This record gives sequence, structure tokens and C-alpha cells, in this order.
Amino acid sequence: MPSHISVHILQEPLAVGAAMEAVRDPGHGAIDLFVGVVRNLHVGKQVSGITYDVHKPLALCTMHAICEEGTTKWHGSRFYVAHYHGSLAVGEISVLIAVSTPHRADCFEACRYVIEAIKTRLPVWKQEHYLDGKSAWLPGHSLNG
Amino acid sequence: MATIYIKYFGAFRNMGTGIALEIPEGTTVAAIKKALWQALGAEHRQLVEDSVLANDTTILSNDATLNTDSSTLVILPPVCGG
Repeated sequence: MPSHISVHILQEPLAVGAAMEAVRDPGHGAIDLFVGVVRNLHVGKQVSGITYDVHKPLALCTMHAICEEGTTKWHGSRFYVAHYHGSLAVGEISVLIAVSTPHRADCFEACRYVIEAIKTRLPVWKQEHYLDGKSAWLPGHSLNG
Repeated sequence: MATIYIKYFGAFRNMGTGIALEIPEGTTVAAIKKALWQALGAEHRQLVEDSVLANDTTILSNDATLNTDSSTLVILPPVCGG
């Protein structure tokens, strides 16, 4: 795996500092971070937490492919992507993306590209847990071509 | 006939951890998906049709055929990561 791409499925807390360090480059003047956290409300329901189900081998392949696309679009860019696998409470980090490029405009675009691709392509599923004790798997984007 | 085991993810986990199906050799992925929703019940047809079958590295197209090294597959419902 090229050193400019670092992808992870983790069952331990996602660390912002590690993400930044993974993409730091003396030739890059911009590091963009995206931190996705569990929020306490979804379509009017009070959320207590989310369990993330992941097909790990395919998820790692997909994350790497997304980052490869990024390095093609933004030449020389560096990527760190981590997604949590397991149960999180409100406020905890579910996804962490760090991108570095020489200049800020490309950095914002590349980071946005990665999170939008993750939303529609990564084999990850959310089971929301509500304060009333119920749980539900959320609908999503079909992987049918 | 071959036995394939289909491991569940996401919403399918409400139905257990997976299912074993007896499938004729050379069956297409589309036919396996049909056998799956028939085994699960018609109320799950839409979920199965919106899902894809895959192995550890590749999503299988509906017209792909089952080969001898496909004894275990996964069924991936619509995704919602992030």
C-alpha cells in the first residue's frame, strides 16, 4: 500500500492527532480534517448511540480505492481515513478523514470527495439506538451498479 | 448442487447471522438473490433486490455465475457509513 494512503477500520477510539500526522508533508501547506460524530437526533427521534456494522475486507478495499481516486484527481495529495466498527455513544467519533495537499482549495475539495464517496460506497451500516429503548437499521444507498 | 453460505450484514442481521442455500452449479447471482428472498419470505424481496452479493474483495454483478470457490458469500444491503 503506498505511504500516501492510510486506511483503517478500528474498534478503538479514532484519534485526530494520528490522522494529522499520517498526512503531514513538508511540501503541503494545507491539512483538512473531517470528523464525523454521533448526533443525538435523527428524524425527530432522540438517539442514544449507534452501532456500526462493517464488512471489513471490502471496506478497506473500498476506502483505498476512494483514496487512489483522490490521488489521481489531486496529484500528490495524502489521505488518512478511519471508520469505527462497533457501538458509539452520542458525541463519539465514527469517521475520521485527513487530507493534505500543497494548497487549501484542493484540500477542501479532496476531503469532501472522500466523505461523500464513503457515504455512498463504503460497506458500513448504522443501527441507531433510541432513548425509548428501540433500535433500527437505517436505510442507505444501494451498491447495485 | 452446491451449498453456499450467505453471511448477513446490516438489516439482514435481524434475521440471524446467515443462511445456507442449495444452489445448482452455474447459478447466476440474480438467481441466488431470488432463492434468498424466497427463503426469507416475500416481505424481504425489496431488501434483497436492493442488496448485492459479494466476496471479501469484490461485489458480484447480477449476471455473474457461481463458481466452485464461492462457498461463502455476503449479502450487503444499502450502505450508510460515515
